[in-house]
Order: sequence, then C-alpha cells, then structure tokens
Amino acid sequence: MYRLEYCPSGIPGFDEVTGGFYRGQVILVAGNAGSGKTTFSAKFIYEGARKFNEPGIYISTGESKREFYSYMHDLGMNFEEIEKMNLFRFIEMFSPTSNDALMILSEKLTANALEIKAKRIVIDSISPFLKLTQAMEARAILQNALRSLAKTLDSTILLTVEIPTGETRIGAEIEEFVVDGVIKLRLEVGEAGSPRRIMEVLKLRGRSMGRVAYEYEIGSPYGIRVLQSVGFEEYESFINREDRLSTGIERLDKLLGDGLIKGSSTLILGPSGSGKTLLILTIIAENVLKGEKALFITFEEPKQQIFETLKFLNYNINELKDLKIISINPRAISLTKIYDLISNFIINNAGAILALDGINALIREFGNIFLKTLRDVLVIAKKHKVTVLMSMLRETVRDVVTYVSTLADNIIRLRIREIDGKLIREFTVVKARMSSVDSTFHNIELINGKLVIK
Amino acid sequence: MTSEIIEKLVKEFEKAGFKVHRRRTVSGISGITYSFEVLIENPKTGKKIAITYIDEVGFKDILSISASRIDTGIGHVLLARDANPKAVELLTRMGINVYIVGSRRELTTIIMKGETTDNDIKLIVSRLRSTLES
Repeated sequence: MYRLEYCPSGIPGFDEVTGGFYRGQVILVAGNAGSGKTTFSAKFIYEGARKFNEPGIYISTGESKREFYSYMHDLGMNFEEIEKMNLFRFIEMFSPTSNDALMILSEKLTANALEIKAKRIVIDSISPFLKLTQAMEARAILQNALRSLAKTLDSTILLTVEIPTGETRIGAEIEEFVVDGVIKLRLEVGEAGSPRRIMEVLKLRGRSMGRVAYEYEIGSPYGIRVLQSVGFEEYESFINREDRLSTGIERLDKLLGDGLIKGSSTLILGPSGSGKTLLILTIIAENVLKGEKALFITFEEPKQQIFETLKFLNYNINELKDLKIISINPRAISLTKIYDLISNFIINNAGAILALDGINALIREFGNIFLKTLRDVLVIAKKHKVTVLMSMLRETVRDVVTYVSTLADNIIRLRIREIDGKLIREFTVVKARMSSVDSTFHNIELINGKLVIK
Repeated sequence: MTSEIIEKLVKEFEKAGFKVHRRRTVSGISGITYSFEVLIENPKTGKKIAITYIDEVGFKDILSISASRIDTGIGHVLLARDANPKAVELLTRMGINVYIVGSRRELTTIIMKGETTDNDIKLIVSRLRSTLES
C-alpha cells in the first residue's frame, strides 16, 4: 500500500497534537500582523535543518536577511549556522509589485530549491502577489504550480498570508480549498488572564481532525511552541493507600491516618492569616529534605516572600535544591498556560509534590472555568502519582465551591478564634479519602519556627 | 525558422489524422484564459496537447507553465531555441517536455544534431502521437 512520507514540523507540541505534515503538501499559514506567521514558518525550516538534516529555503517579501536572522536569533534560532552547513538559503524578494514578479518568484524559488535539494520551502508572504494586477494568474500559479513543485521535489511548502487587522476571513479566497492544510493564527484578548495566542488548524489533509484550536506561545529559546492541551486524560490512578508521605508534623500524620497518600490531593482552606501557606511550605520542605521533588506555585505572593517565609520556618534555602518556586500573577497568564506549566512538571516528575497556593485568586480571575482546568490537573497528577496540595481562602467548607471539595481527596480546615483576647489558630481534618477522620479541632501553634499541633 | 518548424509539425500531425487548432484560447478551472500557438487534438479521444514556443526556457518560466498545464488539464510541450538544462530537467520531472529547435545541444530530453531536420520533426511527432494515443 502506498503511504505518504511523514514530514514533522519540528514545532514543539504541534506534531503531537496534529500529527504533522506530509511531503508534497502545501500548507497555508494565515494570521493578522504580529500573530507569529514568520516565527512558525522559520521554526519549520530551522528544525527541519537542525533535527532532520533537511535543506530549506525561505523567500521573504517583508524582511531583510539581516532583520530575519537577528529576530530569529533572539528567539533561539541560529540561521547563520544552518546556512554555513549549506542547509539553508534566505531569499529577499522585496515589494513584488511589478508585472514580472511571478517570473522572478519562479526563478528564485525553483533555481534555489533545485540547487540545495530543498525539502522545506517557505514563501512569506504570498499576500503581495495576490494584490498584483494579474492577481488571478498569481492565484492560479500559487495553487497549481506550487502543489506540482512540492510533489516533484518531494518537499513541503508553507505559504503565509496576511489577514487584515480586524478581519477574521482569510483573504486569499479560493486557495483555502486547494491547499492541503490551513492554519490560522490569532491573538485573543479576553476579559480574564493574559491575551492568548490561538492556533486554529482548520484543515490538514490526511489527518482525522475537526476544526481544532490550540494555544501557543512565542519566546526564547523555543521560538514557538504549542501548549499542552487540557481534557484528554482518562481517569487513571496508581494510588496505593499504604504508600504515604509524612507531612513532617507528627500529629497531623496521625490525624490523616499515617500521612498523606501519595498521588492524593489535599485542599487546605481557611481565612487570611490562619497558616495555610505555612502548613503547605512545612509539608513540602520536610519532604524535599527527604529527597522528594516539589513545585510550589503561588498565585498571590511574590517568590521572594515565599523564600523569606521558608527562612522564617527555619529552613535553609540551600538545602532545598529540589524545590522550585514560581509566582504567577493570574492577570498575566492564561489557563492553558497554567495547565501546560503544571502538566509538564507532573509528566517529568512522577511521584513529586505540587503545591498550588491561593487558588481563590484563579477563581477570582477566571471564574468557574478554572475548575475545569483544576480537574484536568488533578486527573493527570493522579495518573503520575503526584501529590497535590492546594490552599484556598475560605471560612468554611460550605463556603467552598462544591466542585473543588468534591475533587479533593482530603480537606483540612484552618480557623482563627479569639479566646480571652488571644488569637488561637485551630485546624481539623474534614475529609480524608481512604482513611478514617477525627473531625475535632486541634490547636496549631508556631513554636521556634515550627508548626506544632496540640 | 520557428514558424517553419511549427508549420512542419502541423503538417505532420494533420497527415497523421489529428485535429490541429491554431492560436487557440483555453479557459482553466481558475477562470484564467490561456492562449496556445498550436493545440493538437486526437479526434477519437478528444485528448489534447498544447505546443508553445519560448525563445529561451529558464527557471523563470517553470511556475507559469506548470500552472497553465494543471489549470487547463492539457499536456504541454515547449519548443525552445535555447534552455537552461537544469530548468528543463525540472520541467521534465513535472511532466512537461521541452524540445530544442535551435543550435544549443546540451539537453537531456532530445538532442538534435545541427539544424532541426525533418527527421527531428518526425521524432517529435512520433513522441507526441504516443502521448495523444495513450
């Protein structure tokens, strides 16, 4: 049986979610100005040369070689290097407005492609050709001849096309139906979180997929990458109720039935100042000292403040090498990016501990949509036996969004009471799946920088 | 000289029973109209071949020739006085035959010695006949 040869794009995350391209295909990459068409196409060429030793040519109608090399260098792509290896040619073709523009394109494209045996070709962009007086002829050439050329040379061709600002329709008209793939890049500015870069794969011949949208990011050193998508994990767990980790607080371990079950999720809730962050940091630091890996993400405090809190708890930061602390402002991130960050940690650190401190800040920013992301995080964590600790600013369990409390395996409630003019911190275990629960309140105190339960 | 060769080709095709259309325009699927110097048609099958004369075939011609072939669905043959051998190689791989009717002789498709002779014409006709009759 005849099978088309696979052509991986080399763009991190893209091939995993779409299946990638095939040789001989012509793919249209459409988007508004600044959406990342050039970076997408450049990455396709760059990784083709670097990872697969495939020569490529890049015809640019908008950027000079110097500009292109400089911009891409800032995004982690060293085109000078692959050019020296004779795996790349950059061709400037500015302002193709004259009547012989198509002949010039033909000459530059075919001669260079043949000479370096190009397996990857980019024309960035075809928009100026579609504005020529012989626009119809240009369309016919771009549709028909490029497909024929791609098949003859066994290459994959990427064409970029501009979508004017404010428009959503791809202005190239009929070629959308003729090309083998259409990828639309756009920037979505929502009310919550940071603006999101969305990649819509509207068509990809040979791949069984509907209209699918993915979030992607542009930056150094990866250039462009598609973020991990949520919602594809099946419920799966390798939890063993005998396999537990100590909280580092003897009494708490007893109340939980000999510590936390590895791979379980625990929600710690209480009012401001009740000690949620102190409790999470204690559990994490004690386990990191025993050789566990941990990621602590705070959604409400700066990173430096967390380091200071650890010092306040008498921990030596230098001894906590396997503890990674990240501070995220929910206003400056999207839910997909949060999922991408967390799921990458989980996949690469099976059996580790993950702390999400202040998830109420995410609910405040994104509303109940965040709960879907949280569910996906907990599903993937369970699959990889990652123990999750979450803290939430809430007075009572009834206050807590029902959904979160249902998702959590354990719930620890903290409260502050005033007795004889003194503020007393108390805690109780409200829920402990697969363990018996003692739901009485216990005093919790900070003695010499250590949390002690009485 | 070019018109002389084309006239000889036309005569040979007519003699072999093919329909010959002169300066014919054909609309492609895209709606673009293409004009051809000579269009040979097999009256039994309706299969056509377009013959175009280009003074010098180079890389600059590849996209437009290839596009018109696919757009019209008609096989193309180029007659040229001169050509870039690499461009001809690529055109051949794309299914377009190039015949040199001038004095340059470095091509891989058909190498004719000296001036185009009647035998050369017969050779072209015989090759095109097999395409038209296939």
